[in-house]
Amino acid sequence: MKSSNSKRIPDNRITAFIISIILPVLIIALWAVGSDNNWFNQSIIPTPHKINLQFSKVIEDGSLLKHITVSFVRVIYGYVIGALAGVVLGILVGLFSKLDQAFILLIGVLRPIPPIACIPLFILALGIGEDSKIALIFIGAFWPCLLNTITGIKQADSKLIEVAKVLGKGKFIILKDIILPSALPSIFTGLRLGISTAWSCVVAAEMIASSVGVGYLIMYAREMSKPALLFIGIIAIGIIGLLIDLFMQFLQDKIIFWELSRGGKNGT
Amino acid sequence: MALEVKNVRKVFSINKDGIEVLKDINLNIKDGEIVSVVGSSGCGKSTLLKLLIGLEDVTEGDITINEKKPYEIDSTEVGMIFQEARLFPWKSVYKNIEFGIARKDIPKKEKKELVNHYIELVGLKGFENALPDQLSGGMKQRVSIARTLINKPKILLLDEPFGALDAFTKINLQNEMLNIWEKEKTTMIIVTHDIDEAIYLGHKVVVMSPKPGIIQKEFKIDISRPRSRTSDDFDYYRKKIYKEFFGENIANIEYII
Repeated sequence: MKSSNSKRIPDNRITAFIISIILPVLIIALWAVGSDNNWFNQSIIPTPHKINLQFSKVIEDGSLLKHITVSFVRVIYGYVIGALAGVVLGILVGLFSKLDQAFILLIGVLRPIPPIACIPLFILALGIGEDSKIALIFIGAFWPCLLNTITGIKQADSKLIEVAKVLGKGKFIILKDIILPSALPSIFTGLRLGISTAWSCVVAAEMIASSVGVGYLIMYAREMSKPALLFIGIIAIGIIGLLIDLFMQFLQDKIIFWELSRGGKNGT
Repeated sequence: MALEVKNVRKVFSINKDGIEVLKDINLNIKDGEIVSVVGSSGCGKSTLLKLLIGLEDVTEGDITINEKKPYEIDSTEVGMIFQEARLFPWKSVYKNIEFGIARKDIPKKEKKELVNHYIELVGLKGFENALPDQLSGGMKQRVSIARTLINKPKILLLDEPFGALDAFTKINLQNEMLNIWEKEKTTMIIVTHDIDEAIYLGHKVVVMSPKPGIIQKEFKIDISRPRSRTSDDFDYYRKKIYKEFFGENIANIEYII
């Protein structure tokens, strides 16, 4: 057995955490000092104190939570459908070379189009309601899931497949026990990229046409000249994005447990 | 199970003309015999094994295993062990070995006993739940051996099985394979580039040469078992086989190796 360095890991984690908070703390401190000394235009960059007051307000009246929940539900809808479609199609394209040839040009042309460029089209086709937003999130989640799944399926180790063939295993067993587990790390990369794109897409969609959601909150704050609210919106987007990614990473470590025993830890 | 290879030729169509990897291959392997196949890389010795197990098809010639063609043979009858352990990283030692079972109609309880028996046989008791990446190279190859042996194959094909292991682990595993042979009298064909290994294990050593891969010579190894690598008999065969590879000029050997 390889010696485990379980003794060292907790120390490392605490140190890593402390190091990781140094920069954010420095920036906030600089911001506070700068605000006190009038380095910034306060109608653009509010003081931390003002943000704090605004924050208590939007928490108490529940409006921040309402906006976040609405955005979040939209993301979940679009993401679940988009990721599912991407992974399923990706598995098929990865498995069957004829299908791969059929799709290669279409994928090549459509993939570079930023999802946000489709907003006007979706609004025209689906209206300014939920459908156009979910369609946008769908597209955002779909591409990374599709492309990474295809890569993962194609990368399945032919030597392992040979072992299964020698043992007389059928196609279904080979898919279930070898090709899919081989592709999982890559599929997960797609899922993680997909959720972060989905989250960016919802904000963009809400900024253009919406009456609720975090993206709307930011636009509303600008129109009302409430920089503190604007900052809260922006920071909320960042923090939620981080939490989603941490959750996905947690899932990844649970599902692709064998990667953890390969010595090197997954990147954060 | 006896095995016969008759006038086999194999061409890979890499370019327009194709590359001839095996030519005029004739082999007669008796039931319970261990045959070592030695040759430099590219002499087609691994391809020969792939033909025997039905992963590749012959271009010309015939292979018969107990009057059957390779692709007609049941997976329980012929097993193969590769140079790399080729374990599934997402399966525990137990699950990897369990995957080897080719029979489909086996009851759960019997399955469990079978897997545990083979885990014990290869000395991995206590490691059932370990993942392949937590094991050393030798342990991985043990799992791979158990995964193949669990079907009790009558013929075992070994493709440089110990080539990636350190000298001590290698000798241990060679002896364990011989123990298994003593018990089961499995017919074994072992492809290797290690001449000592070939002599130590084989009843017969087949020397192959490349471009195209042909059988250059066959040696019957007449040394009683257990064999000693330091005995004069052993050295006699070693010298003969070295000469087959490098000609009369033995002085060159040290240089080449």
